[in-house]
Formats: sequence, C-alpha cells, structure tokens
Amino acid sequence: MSGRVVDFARSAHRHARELLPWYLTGQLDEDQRLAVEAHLRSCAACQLDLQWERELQAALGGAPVSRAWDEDLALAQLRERLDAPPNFLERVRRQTRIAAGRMFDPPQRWLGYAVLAQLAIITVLAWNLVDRSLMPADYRTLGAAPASAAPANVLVVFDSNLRERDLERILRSVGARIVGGPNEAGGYLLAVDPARQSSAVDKLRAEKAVRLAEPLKLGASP
Amino acid sequence: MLGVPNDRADRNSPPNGLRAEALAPTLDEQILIERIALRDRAAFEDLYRRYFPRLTRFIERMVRRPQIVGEILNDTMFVVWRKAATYNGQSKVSTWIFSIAYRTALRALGRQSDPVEWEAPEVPAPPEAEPESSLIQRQDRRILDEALSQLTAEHRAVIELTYMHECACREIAQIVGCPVDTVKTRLFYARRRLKSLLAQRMGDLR
Repeated sequence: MSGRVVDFARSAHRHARELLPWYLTGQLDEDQRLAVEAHLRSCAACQLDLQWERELQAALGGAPVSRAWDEDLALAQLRERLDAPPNFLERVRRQTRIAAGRMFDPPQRWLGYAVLAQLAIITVLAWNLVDRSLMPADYRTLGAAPASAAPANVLVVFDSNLRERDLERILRSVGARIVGGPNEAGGYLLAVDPARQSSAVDKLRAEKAVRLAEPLKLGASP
Repeated sequence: MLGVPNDRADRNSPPNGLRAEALAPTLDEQILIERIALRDRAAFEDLYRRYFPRLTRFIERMVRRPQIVGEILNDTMFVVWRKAATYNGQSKVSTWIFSIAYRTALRALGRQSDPVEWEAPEVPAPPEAEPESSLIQRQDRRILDEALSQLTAEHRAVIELTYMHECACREIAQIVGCPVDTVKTRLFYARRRLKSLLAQRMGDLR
C-alpha cells in the first residue's frame, strides 16, 4: 500500500517537473495548472526548480541576439526572388547539388557508396561494349595474313592418313600451333615454346602419324 | 500567439479595431495568409515584417551561425509565399511559419560542416545582478551562451520556443513534428543538461 503511495508521489513529482516551464509561461490547461500548483505546495525541490526556471527565462530574454542584417535589406533581397521568373533549370541544379551533397551524410552514407558502386559497374559494362565495337573482329578469312606474330620453329610432315582428331591431340600434347603450310611437300610450320622446342620435336618424332619433325631457326618460312 | 513583442504589428492594424480582441492578431494573420495565397505582395510584406524579429531570434538561437540566418529566414518566407494556399488553418499561422523555419534551419545545418564560431556581443551585466543572487544571474550572460552552445539545435529550439516565444507544448510538438510527450522529455533533458553545464562552469570559475 505504502509502495503505491510512493509511486504515485514519484509520478506526480516527475509530471510536475516536466510541466514547470509551461506553468511558468502560463501555457498549461486548467487541470494541469492545478495539479502542478498542488504539487508545488508540498515539494521544495520543485519550488527551487521553478525559481531556476524564472531566472533562466529572464537570462534568455536578456541574452543578446546579433541582428547582423537589416530588415529592409533582407526584404529587398527576397523581393528579387519573388520577382524572378521560375527558373526550372536552376531549381533542378540546386536540388541536384543539395541531393548530391547530402548523399554522403552519415544517416544515408550507404546510399552514396551504393551509387558510386553502381556507377563503377555501369562504366565497366559500357567500356566492354565500346571496346568490342572498336576492336577488329576476332575472325579471319582463310586468305588473310596470319594475325599471330609467333614465329615458326618446327617443321613437321604428317602421315597422309592422319585423322583430324589425332592431329588435334598431337598439337595439344606439345603445345604447338600451326602457323604455316602445307607447302608442296605437305609440310606444316608449327610454333612451340622456344624453351621446349627440342622436347616438342622429340615428342612429335615419337608419334606414329608424324613422318618428319625438324627444329627450325626463328623466323623460318615454308 | 508568440510572445515576443512586435513593434511592426500595430503599424498595419485594420481600422475596425480587431486587435482589441485577444484572438485578433491570429485572425488578422489568417487573413494575410489568404491574401498571400492570392499573390497579394503588400500582405506578404506585412507578414514578413511582423515575423522578421521573431524568426531572426529563433533561427539565430537555433543555428548559432549569423552568416546563414538571413538566408534561412528568407528561404522560410519564400516557402510561405509559395505555399500559402496550402495553409489549412488547423494550426496557428505562427505555428505553421515556425514549423517551416525549424525544418529549413535543420536542413541548412545539415549542409554546414564548419564549427560554430559565433560569439555573443559584449553586454554589461545588469546592475541588479548582485554577487549573492541566483546561479544564472550571478554569471555573465556569456556563460549562459556558452552552455547553450553545448546543446543540440533541437534542444535549443525547444528552449527558445518555450521560454521566449511562450509556445504551449502542443504548439511546439506541431512545430518540431513530434509527439507532445517527446517535447516534454526533450525539454526536460535540455534543462537538466543546461543546469549541469552552468554548475560545471561555476565550479571552473571558483
């Protein structure tokens, strides 16, 4: 029972304490005013608080305000804005500037970074499109000059019964690429890694379907 | 009605004696807003001059940057000019205008990155401020200003609206756009912080 009384008193105290500023300025409704007055009669702390509120109000009223500008001048400046025709582009520019400027403010900083990331992705995708449109096509006609600058360094003659599937396997096994041929004798020029030229030749010679495999000096032609 | 004296208010009083009644200024301002909605420039300039001292004080106290007060004030009144037709009369004209000023000031503060460098002008202590008088009176006003500078703009706004513009709690809730109970709590914590800062400053001076 006594606990309830204490709770009620605490609640009344907190309520009155919150309302003291508006009690001071006469902005409470009748019920609130009577409740605060009833509490004030029995609460020394709130009486002291009320006195402090009075002093604060007096001090705030006396505190200076700079008034660094003139009313007529300020109004004249605003008149210019009222007279100016609505400039859509200027408004858009201003809004954009404000929005861009605030994009990295703490509450929505993620938005700024998200937009930046999106821009980066768009740039990469756009560059890929432009890049491909500007580059020459990646295919050649049979009569066109070889695109590769890799030099031929192995001459090879295959068996005439060699199947295409075996040709592919042999070339892959030595890391070779056909860069020329066939010549009149049926010889092909291969390009292999110069460091592995001799081992490639040995491997080629070991193949049944290879009739001839000879290392060549760099820059040889059929 | 906001409580700051308005030296311009009587200059444009209508001759029918409306101002003799308590609600007359509010009704008068509502008529001005209606005229402004019809693009009446004279009505707008009348309202501008009525609110210039009040808004100047409120905005300066809130943002504490004299260099942007004029811009915020004119931005506020420009919105009043453009949006007068949307005023629905559900709140006082003063509440509506101060809510625009509050939001405009907060947006302007959000764009500022520089620290506040405002210094209160020198004002001699009043003769009645005796050494043995109260905590606030005993101190230089500059100390009060320093303490206010430690509060948030939202806290300063609520303090200014309560003590200097004598707004009711419900009006302040409309101005700052939050529930009435939040206003009570916000002012309670602002007072507590202010009291603590002043006590600390007094301790430093001893």
